[in-house]
Amino acid sequence: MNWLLEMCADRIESDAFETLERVQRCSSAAEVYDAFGQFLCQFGFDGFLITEMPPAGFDLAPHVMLNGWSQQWYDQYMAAQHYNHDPMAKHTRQSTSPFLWSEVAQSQTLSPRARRVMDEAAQIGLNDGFSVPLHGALGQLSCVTMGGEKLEFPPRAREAIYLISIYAHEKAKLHREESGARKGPGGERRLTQREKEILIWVAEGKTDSEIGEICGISHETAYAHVRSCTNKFQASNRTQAVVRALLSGEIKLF
Amino acid sequence: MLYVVNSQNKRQFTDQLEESFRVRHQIYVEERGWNDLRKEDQREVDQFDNDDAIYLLFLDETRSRVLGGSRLIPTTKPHLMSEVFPNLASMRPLPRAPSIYEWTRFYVVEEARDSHRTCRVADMIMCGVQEYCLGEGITQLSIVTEPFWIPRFLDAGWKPRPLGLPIKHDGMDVVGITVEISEEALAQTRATRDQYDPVVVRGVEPSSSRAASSVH
Repeated sequence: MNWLLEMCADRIESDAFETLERVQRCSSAAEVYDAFGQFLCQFGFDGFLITEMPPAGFDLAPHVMLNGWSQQWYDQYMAAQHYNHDPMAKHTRQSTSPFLWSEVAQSQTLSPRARRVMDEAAQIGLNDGFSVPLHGALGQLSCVTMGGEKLEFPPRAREAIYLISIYAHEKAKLHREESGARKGPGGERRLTQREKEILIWVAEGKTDSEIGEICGISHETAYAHVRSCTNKFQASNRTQAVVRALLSGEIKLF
Repeated sequence: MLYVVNSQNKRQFTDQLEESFRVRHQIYVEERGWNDLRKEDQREVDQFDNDDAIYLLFLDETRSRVLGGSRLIPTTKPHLMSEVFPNLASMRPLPRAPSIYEWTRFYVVEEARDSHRTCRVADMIMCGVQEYCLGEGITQLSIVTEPFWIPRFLDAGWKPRPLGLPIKHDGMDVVGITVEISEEALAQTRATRDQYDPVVVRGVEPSSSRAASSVH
């Protein structure tokens, strides 16, 4: 029996690497959808979602990078604001490792509202699922999550899905940005009073050490505040953060 | 600043190197619980801490305290992936060439970690590794790591490539990857981290108490 499992694991590994190369060649969100969806199919997954994870309380829809759920489930999930109560979303925030929904559900007592999310998912055919939390270099949190009626996890499948999810997320992020689908009217861009103050000093050309002196904080703390601003605006550096903060009216210089 | 410590100059850094071994024990054994590395003398030293090892030590302004560090080993010599984790390279050949080094032991001491999940010392080490390797003609690094690091390398433009599927080791997912050293990767790492100045100090003038802090 062992050699059979090993053969199966070898096949999954070579199949995973073919998929990995296919995903890396994708030049549109639609191609990622096809390549990733087809790969997941063999493990019993019927749908998936690739999304940023705003804090609970924020609207999820503007953060979605690639929707591979059925339209019915997507609409129902958004309309009911399940995101704020979804126990798997909550677990994603606390975890750096991928997990099966059934494992997490068994390990804790769910509130009635959280239970409702899982029950509605099951009613629509998502009896179980698998979620991959992804932490970016700037502290951004994203997630690749997938579900189906009956999952089959042969040896190495978990590792294969984990690895491919990372690259599918990267491509989905790239092509969402290219298509210009920017954030919706963003409550999520709100800066704290302190961050505004510090970003204004950045706009005035001050260094972290200078800002630290002006505000009576360490330069590390000043740096961390600036990083938090770039993070909130999804800017690739502080200059872009200042520009976006100015354009959105979060800070004013005059 | 990030100091290069190798077999040629390590006599000048005896204390700092000793501290780095104690710091590594504190972080890898006490904090992360990698019990195979536990040593009675509280110094985390393995078979790759030999004369081939190149250390990049992040020292404070007085050059007395280790705030973070990292280690590079030539892949033409025995290294972690070749000796301990050869099974990680299951889909692609084990990277072995004079221009490829293995990157291990990337750590930052607890006091130097910031809130907001960002860390200036870690950012500067990331920049410094690209900067140092570019200067040495190193074109690629091989790394034994946890998969959650891959997105960070992607964000920084290091083009990580897995060598095989992750495996479970001590309850942890471990994967072998290679990353690229390039001017573009250095530029993107600097831009995403807001660190534009060089951070690597190679030659050290023994008497000065403070190295030049911004060399352009």
